[in-house]
Amino acid sequence: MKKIIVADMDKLVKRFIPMSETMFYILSSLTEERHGYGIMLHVQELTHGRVVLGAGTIYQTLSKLEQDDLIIPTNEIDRKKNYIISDIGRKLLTCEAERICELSLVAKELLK
Amino acid sequence: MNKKTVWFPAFRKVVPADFEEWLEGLAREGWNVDKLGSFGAFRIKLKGSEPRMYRYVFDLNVYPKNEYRQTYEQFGWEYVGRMSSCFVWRKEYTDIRPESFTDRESLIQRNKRMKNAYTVIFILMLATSVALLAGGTVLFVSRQSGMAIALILAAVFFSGIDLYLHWVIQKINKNLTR
Repeated sequence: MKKIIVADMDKLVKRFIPMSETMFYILSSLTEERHGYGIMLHVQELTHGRVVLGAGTIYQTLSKLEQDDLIIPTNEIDRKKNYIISDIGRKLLTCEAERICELSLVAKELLK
Repeated sequence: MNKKTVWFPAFRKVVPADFEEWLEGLAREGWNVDKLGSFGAFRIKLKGSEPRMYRYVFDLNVYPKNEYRQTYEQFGWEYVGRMSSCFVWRKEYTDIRPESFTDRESLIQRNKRMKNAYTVIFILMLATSVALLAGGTVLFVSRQSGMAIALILAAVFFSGIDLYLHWVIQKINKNLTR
């Protein structure tokens, strides 16, 4: 497992946050071990069918996340490669979740 | 069996979305890709069949990982073929046209991969044109006019290709979100 250096984390935060909705949902899905098709099904269920990820988008995003060590391949069963979020990925996802919560609070205040 | 051949399809439909729509239009008329190989950019063989509602996807992937093909197949896409590094997939549908690139960012990335590939060829062609022109000029000054003209004509030829590539890059650039 790679050690997370603060400077590296800062670079990742600058690069990935704010996160695209696709990336956020894919990283969230990978808090449990899943493969590409499983991620699509999970996101579809999570968003009540609003977000349906396509094959090209899933492959492209998973490749990018793996290249940046935000997710780790675990195994391959029946030609399906499984992944799980890495420690760096989890930290980044937490940063983004905090940002979204902050936005949500401000938005709720505006609606009062 | 009805068959027809279309020449230089990828040179006529340079924007990936246009290429896809062109193939889909042919499928609706009952013409589908029979075989797509390395020379598919130059020649496509179509086979006559019943009209079909196909969604075609054009995706440039120079270094596809093992899971590239697996991912598409698990999502129900049929592998049509590969023109060099350009993969073509299709899926039959009845109601909603399926998408492979479902967000703006990944769609732009798909198109940028095509644009970048053309840009590399553009730069190589430009360097070739400049080198040929420089060589031609040197030979012209050295009074070897026969060879000089040949080099300058070659430079003009490569410049013509470069002009076409410039048009292609601009066209893809204008269609990055399609």
